[in-house]
Amino acid sequence: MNHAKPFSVLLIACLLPALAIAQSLQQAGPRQAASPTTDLPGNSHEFYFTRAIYSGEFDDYDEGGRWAVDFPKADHQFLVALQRLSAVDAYGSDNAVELTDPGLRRFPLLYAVEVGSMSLTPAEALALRNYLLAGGLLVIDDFWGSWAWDQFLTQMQMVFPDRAIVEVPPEHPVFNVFYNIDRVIQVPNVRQGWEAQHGGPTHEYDGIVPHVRGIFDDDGRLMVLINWNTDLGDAWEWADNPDYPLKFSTYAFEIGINFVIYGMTH
Amino acid sequence: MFEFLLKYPIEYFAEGRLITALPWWQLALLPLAIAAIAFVALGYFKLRAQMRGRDRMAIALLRGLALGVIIFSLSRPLLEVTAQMQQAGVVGVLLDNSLSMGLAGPGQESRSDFIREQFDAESGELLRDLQQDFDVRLFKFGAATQAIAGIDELDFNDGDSDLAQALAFAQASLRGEPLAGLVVISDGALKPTGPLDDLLLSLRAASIPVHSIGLGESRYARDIEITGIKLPGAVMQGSRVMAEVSIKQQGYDGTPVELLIEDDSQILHRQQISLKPGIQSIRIPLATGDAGARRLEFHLTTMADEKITANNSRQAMLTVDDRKMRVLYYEGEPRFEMKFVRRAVADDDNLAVSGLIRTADAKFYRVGIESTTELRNGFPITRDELFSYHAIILGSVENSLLSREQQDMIVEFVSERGGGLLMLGGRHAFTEGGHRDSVLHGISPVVMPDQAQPEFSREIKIQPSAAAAVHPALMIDDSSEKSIARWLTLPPLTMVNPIRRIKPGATLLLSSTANEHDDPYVAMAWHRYGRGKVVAFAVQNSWLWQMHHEIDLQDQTHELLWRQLLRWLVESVPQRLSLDLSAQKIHAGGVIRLRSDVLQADFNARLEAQPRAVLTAPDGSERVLVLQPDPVRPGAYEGELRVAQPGDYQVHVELDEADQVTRSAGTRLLVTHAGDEFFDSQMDEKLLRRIADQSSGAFFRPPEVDKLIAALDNNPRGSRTLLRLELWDMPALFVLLVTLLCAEWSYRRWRGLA
Repeated sequence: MNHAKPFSVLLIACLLPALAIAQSLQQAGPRQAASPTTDLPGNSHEFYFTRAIYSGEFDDYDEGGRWAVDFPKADHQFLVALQRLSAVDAYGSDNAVELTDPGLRRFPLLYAVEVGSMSLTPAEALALRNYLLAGGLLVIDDFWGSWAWDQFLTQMQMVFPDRAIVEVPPEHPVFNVFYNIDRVIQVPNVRQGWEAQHGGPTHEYDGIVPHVRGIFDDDGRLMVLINWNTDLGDAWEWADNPDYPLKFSTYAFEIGINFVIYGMTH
Repeated sequence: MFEFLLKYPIEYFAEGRLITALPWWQLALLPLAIAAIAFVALGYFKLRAQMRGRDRMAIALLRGLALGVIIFSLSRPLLEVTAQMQQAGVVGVLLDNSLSMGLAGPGQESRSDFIREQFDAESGELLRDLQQDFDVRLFKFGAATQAIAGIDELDFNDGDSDLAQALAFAQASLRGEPLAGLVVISDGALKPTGPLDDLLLSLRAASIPVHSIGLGESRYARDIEITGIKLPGAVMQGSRVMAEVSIKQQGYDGTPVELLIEDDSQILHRQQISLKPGIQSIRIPLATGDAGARRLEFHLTTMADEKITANNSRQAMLTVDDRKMRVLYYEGEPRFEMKFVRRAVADDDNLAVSGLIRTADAKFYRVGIESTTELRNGFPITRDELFSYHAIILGSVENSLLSREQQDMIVEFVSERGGGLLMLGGRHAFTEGGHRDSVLHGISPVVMPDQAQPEFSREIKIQPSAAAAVHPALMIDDSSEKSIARWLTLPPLTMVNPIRRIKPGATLLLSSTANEHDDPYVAMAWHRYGRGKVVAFAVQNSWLWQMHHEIDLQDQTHELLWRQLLRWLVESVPQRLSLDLSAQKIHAGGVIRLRSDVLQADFNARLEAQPRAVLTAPDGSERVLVLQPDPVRPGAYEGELRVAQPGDYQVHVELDEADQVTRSAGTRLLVTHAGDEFFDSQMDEKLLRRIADQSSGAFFRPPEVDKLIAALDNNPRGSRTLLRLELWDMPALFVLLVTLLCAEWSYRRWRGLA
């Protein structure tokens, strides 16, 4: 019952003007100051695209910290696509929440980026662990190479010292819950996306092969979805940029929507 | 001389009354008789010229009188009199032969002693008095009724006493006899299973009074009794079941006792109870054991000075079902509710939730399906496919997402198939989803508001109703009190469907807490619709009871609630072959009625089946009874079995289908010697008085039995009889007719007119 891929490409192409309008409403610059939205009017929407605010090694208050990379434009543009392409009743704006915020558990799907610079406090690690064990799903994006992986692994071991990180098999429902994702592709950042059209590489550092890995609970349900060596957020953020290749944006929207639908049904 | 002419004694004519036995059609001949008399009169009128007027008058008078005598005789005159019988009237005495007649108070005679003393063939005073005036016929009754020659045939060892059957038997046995009345001597611990009221009215109509003599105390000074146990007939394995235990006591107000519940001799629950005056009811949540037919035993502490200790224990049967029940969860949009409901019941081996979610316009996703073909075409469009489920959860599904045919099928799914329907709140549910004017509103337990309020969204705290405190699906802690306390501490949820009212007959389970500005909203209500259940759970995010930061990770409230709710929704869904017993416990020699409903694959009633009931005795021997169709209810089959030996029997129904034998879930039948004879065994004066009043009899206590003879004497039916005597052939009529005719002939001769 899935749409053919060309159809979704066409839909996403149609989205670009809307995304351009959305962009015009944003403040300039790739990183925006965080404005956590925990005081929501009674969860009146079903879905809030929630970005995790975590402590990081390179926190820079002028720029908002590494958690805020591509924030909020990427979030807004992804929400536009989600609202247009699915039946999800999604709140149309950004929603960044600190890991230790008690309100975090009102949002069962959490998005985090640049986790190579994550440096969780014990309270954050405990809150994240409880969030995931209660039934939340963490989607991780935009960290590259072995150094970042090792750093992330250290952080995850604070959260789950005894759980393995494994490759999510291609037949897993997360790859066909809404769109059929036949192959995991590497989504470059905006600069390399432009270079890739001219024969340049799409990877950063030594992150040559993209991966979708996961941490599963005792019943085989995904708790953490790890998009390593890929940058979905940039593809969302720059989907309205004519210089950014459409195929990357299309893939990023497709797998992003799959993550959301999966997180709401499994 | 008079008696010769009038055929009967002259007193009969003084006391009796004259009636006619002329059939109605013969009255139609009356005009002919009048015409005949007129013809005679006319004949004499024509003779006017030959006869003088005085002669015509005399002859016409004599001829008319003769004709009148003939007409009187032809009208079959009867004389109705009541006459003294030559033989004595008959009195039927029904003696209670049940076990409870052996009961005696401390230092008192037993109830049966009265019968032994008063009806002994040699020394029985009451029997002697009765025999002086009446022909006395004795009967004993208990599980069965039979005529006896004397009280030597009484053993006071029968099970349940069936009075209706006993009265009917005595009346039939004495039909045609001049019955002065029936006398019932009993403690009133009777099980009038038959149509007692109708029977008493017919006895009254036949002028047969039933006099009753009540034996024993009408109220025990000190006794504790389990008066009843209510359990659902069947429950799913692993479910919590609510047992309602009713306790009656006298003389032990405030006394602590222990209630012990055993499941086939394994302790299931024990609880201290403080006895309250009169009758008290206790609801106890119980965890069910292994699958199969379970026998639960309930015991209350026995007291040293108690009247009867046998009534401190009772048994009840419970069928624990281990079927896999299928639930179809349909969502019109992706919602976290589905995720968390599926997670909540994921570990439940008896529940399989198949999810169908509209993820985009005309795009659906299936989750939890058992085969690749399941729900392949979306929400089922055939009755067979839909009826393969046991329950449906309708989430945020707007009305237009279901065709009229699909909505009608959902109605049939509930009303005919007996499935469960759970309607969840959501932005496309209830009135907000356009269901207000649909057939789904017709089966909903709540009144959907006329106007949708799409902007309505309110955070509500849940308030459980009194019904929720004892509802098996909503018991979220070990006891009602703890459960209520837990409900009140659960985090608030969001409601987007402002529903205020439930329908008549529905039960409110959860509501929002009211405040001074706002009436409460309905959060959960349910009712039965046809064979099935419909629940409205009008909140949209019960998953917050799993995810909220105030909920401990180890807290199982959300899982428990959903498991219990779905199990309760499906546990009474009928199978295609079912078995019901008229009782779970009978006395030895009693009759058990079996009833089986047989359904086709599409859950329509199956006609012309031949289900067999199989009764397996404790020694493994089997009795098979082919059940016969119920002429009133298509698809229902029934039969009766008399079970002579006490024991714990297994019962099931089998049916030949194609090349295989389908077998129903089994149940158990407990057959005991005493049945329920020791329960509610106080002398039931109210019942015995009612029996007497309705049949124009009288109620007596033992000291008053000397009045019984007078009461029986008052009935003329036993000593006098009603007679209807034929008068048409009285010699007096013949003499009168001959005399009149001779007088006319003599007159004619005298006057020279012959």
